[in-house]
Amino acid sequence: MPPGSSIERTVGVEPSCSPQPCRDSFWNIGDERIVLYIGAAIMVGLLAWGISRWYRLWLIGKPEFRANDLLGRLRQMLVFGLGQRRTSRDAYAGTMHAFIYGSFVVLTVITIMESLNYWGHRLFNIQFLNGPFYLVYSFFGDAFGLLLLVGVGMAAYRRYVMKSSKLEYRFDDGLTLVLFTVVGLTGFFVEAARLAVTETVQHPQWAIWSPISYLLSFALLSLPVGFLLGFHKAMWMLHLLAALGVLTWIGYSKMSHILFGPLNIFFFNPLAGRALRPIDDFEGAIERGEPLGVAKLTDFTWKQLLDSSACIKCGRCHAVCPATASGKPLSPKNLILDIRYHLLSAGPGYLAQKAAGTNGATAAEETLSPVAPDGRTLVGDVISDDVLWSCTTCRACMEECPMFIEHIPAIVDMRRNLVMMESRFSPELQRLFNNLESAGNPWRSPKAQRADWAKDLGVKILAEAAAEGEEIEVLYWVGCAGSFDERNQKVARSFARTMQAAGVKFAILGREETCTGDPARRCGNEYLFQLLAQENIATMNGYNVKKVVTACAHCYNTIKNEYPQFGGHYDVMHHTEYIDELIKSGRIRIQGRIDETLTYHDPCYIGRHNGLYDAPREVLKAIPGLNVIEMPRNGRKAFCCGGGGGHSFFEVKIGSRINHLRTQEALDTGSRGLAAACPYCNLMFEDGVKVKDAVERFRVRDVAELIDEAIQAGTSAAPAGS
Amino acid sequence: MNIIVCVKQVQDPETPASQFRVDEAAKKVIPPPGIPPTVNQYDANAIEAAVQLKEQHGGRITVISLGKDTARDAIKQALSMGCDAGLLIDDPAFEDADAYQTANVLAAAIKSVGDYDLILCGRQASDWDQAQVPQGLAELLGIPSVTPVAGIEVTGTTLRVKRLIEDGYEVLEVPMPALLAVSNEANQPRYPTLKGIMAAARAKVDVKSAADLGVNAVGRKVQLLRLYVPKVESQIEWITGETPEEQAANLARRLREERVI
Repeated sequence: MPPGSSIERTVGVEPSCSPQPCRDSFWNIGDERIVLYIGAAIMVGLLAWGISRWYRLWLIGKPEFRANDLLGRLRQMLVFGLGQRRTSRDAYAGTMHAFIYGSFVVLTVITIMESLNYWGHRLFNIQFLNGPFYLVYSFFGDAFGLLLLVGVGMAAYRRYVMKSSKLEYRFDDGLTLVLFTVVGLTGFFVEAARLAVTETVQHPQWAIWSPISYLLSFALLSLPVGFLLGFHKAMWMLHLLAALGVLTWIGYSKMSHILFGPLNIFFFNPLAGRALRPIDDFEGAIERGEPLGVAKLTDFTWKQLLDSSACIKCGRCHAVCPATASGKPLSPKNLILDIRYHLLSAGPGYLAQKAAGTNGATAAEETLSPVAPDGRTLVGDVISDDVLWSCTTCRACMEECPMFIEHIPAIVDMRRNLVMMESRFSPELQRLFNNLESAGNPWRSPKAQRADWAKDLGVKILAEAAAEGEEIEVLYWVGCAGSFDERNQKVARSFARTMQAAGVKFAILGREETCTGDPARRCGNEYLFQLLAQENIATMNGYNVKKVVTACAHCYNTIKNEYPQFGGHYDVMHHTEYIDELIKSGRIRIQGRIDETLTYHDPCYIGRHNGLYDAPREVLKAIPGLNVIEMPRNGRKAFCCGGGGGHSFFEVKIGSRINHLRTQEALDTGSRGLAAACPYCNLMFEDGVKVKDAVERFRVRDVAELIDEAIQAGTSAAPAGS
Repeated sequence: MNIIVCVKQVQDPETPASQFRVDEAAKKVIPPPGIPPTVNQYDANAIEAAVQLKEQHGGRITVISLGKDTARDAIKQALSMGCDAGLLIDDPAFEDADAYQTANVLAAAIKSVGDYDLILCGRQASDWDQAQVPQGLAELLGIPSVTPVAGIEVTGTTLRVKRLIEDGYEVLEVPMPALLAVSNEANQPRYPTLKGIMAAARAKVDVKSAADLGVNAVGRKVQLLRLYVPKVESQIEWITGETPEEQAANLARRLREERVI
């Protein structure tokens, strides 16, 4: 038996390496250590089974290739997973999590070092946990033990005292905190009991390096040594079981995020949400009887099922979702968790079906049926239609999610099934689809009138420019709103005048332009989207278009991020970006002033979806006299206007209206008006201002209108040469 | 249950007034460029009613349209919604057919299709709004007809039909075969599933001429004397006054002068 390893020590006996500071492994622990080895084996087995159960459940999903750009993926995993860049955004929760996460990592390392030291000593007679290193090591153990308890305390305080509707209050959420608390407390008790019998008495200059335990040991000093030895043993056992419990718990609770979080971030698609996944072969899918979109768990890809397993239930998505905030039935968190719980209840049945193979017609029929083995349908029973239609695809959830869950594609995939397979959606949406089909715009306006807004402006039509052999710098993609909607025609006119003032050679497509398909795609009508997209791409490629500028945030996103899927590769700029460039290159000189205080609203599809936060603000800053104040929620936290994801054309008539909430926020800034940069936003705010009876004191203008106004004010008011 | 649905392709009723032109000399509507014609909305209700009956009771739906080659799209639309077969009667001789001629051609077409239990039409077409063809067709076929219909139930060989009347509706029992002219109150026409769209795209639409059907050349019953866009004139008169009360008094006086109040 190696010296000191299993000797029951009482006061007065020195550790094996004395006079150097150190401690004996398994001090006071005899044959009880068998519990460690058996327990660890059971833990490893249970954990492996728990993880493999998830793994098998993911594989009921469809294949999807996500192994491209491994370095980029590794980077995003390191920065956002291990590096916690997103988790830390919330000061309280981020700190709390950093404490628990940090102490979990450090205490695990400490335990591993202890084990290495023990086996090193036993097998090779090498000990490295001694001397000053041991003291520092002790200090780390104590400090991070405290940090763990502080973190868990913060979590408990947040959960049970502050309380929040964004959190889940299931049994296992509480149990997780209990387990961690037990691990932390028993850790200190074990150490304190040992110190009380040894270091505190013999070597207080060592003991002081475990400050918490040292203080605690004073409380124990008066107790009989025999009792302390028993107490130590009991605490050691409890500590061991709780620690093994935590590790096992990883396979069976939200603690799986320790593994699935980084994994999910690794497999995150940076284009998710902004470029929706195309369906490649409609006809083939229909012929083979395959469903389009998602009607049941097995229609999701494995990554979408992994998404549901990686959710840590932090509720950050719930707290920022405009649908949730306006009382609609969608909560992104509940959506993802509903998928998770459905996967747990119905997944094993699907696995059994898979194992039974496709022999026999019933098995084949079962795989096609939308009714899951647990007797429920994913869409309808587990997730209601209204939940799916409530989403404005604003990306607030995806922007916040520390696990990088892809909510929008999941929602759109389920919408696809409702639209293309079930034909189950609101009559307003049907009108939208019909109008897009027959007229190529959401309002059924005649194609021939697409360029009417520009009639008196001398704007070139690309077909004419091409016929005259005229070179253009940029194609101005007007979009349906700019072309047909009275309010947004003014924006189009302002932007055209601005480009003319800058001497930009641009042209528009006129009647050859048709809806980009964004509302159709976001509403699940992928087929209609692709028809529209292909038509536009054929037109633009026919003219060899290289550069596109648009004043529509949605057209911008679709042409930039989604048209490449169908062979449309253009250099796409949003008009605020383009105007910013014109100002910075000196092509626009603003001589007028606008002496007003305004607030700026970030459109979701240029802001969160494409990271364009600065250009619009730069443009506004360039207008003399204009003072821009921010709403409380701005930049990536900007609250949606309510018009995205097709919601400009249909409404989920539950709860309040999102645009009214956001308009109130804008009014509350005390500014005189609002600058927006997207046609849907313009319309949503115009409506909001009317409803809030604020038309007289609050004006809604597009960034292009403001710049145009400032330029015009300069040319008319400023005396020549000034 | 064999159902026949008669549909008409019309100029999009949502064509803006500014785009609507007529050739007064030729007495014809000039189709506005870039605005595709559509299925008459009431006919879409008839299609939907037929598809719903088929879903409940099984059977086969044949769609018939009298029109130009473009009317193939109207038939395809019906097929994509769930109808089974399409027949287009394309004959220049009937390009500007009146209701009587149309009913004659449709009657011949229906006879060529074979046995039927039910014929569904839209209550009227949004282009000429005459609402004459359904009853004329029923008369020619010698079957009962109901118009306008807001609901249909099938019990055995009898139909229970909800017929709209001025201040409500009445429920009629009608023996089959019968013709029902469906109104928009009956249903909300569905958006076709992609499966339906694909199937319709592949489906072949039979095309026949009047001669193929052996239609008797019957003369027009309606003579079009003149076709023109009526001029709508409006005048605006501002009512003035120092105070709101005075303005209101002046407004009341003017309205009384015009005998409006």
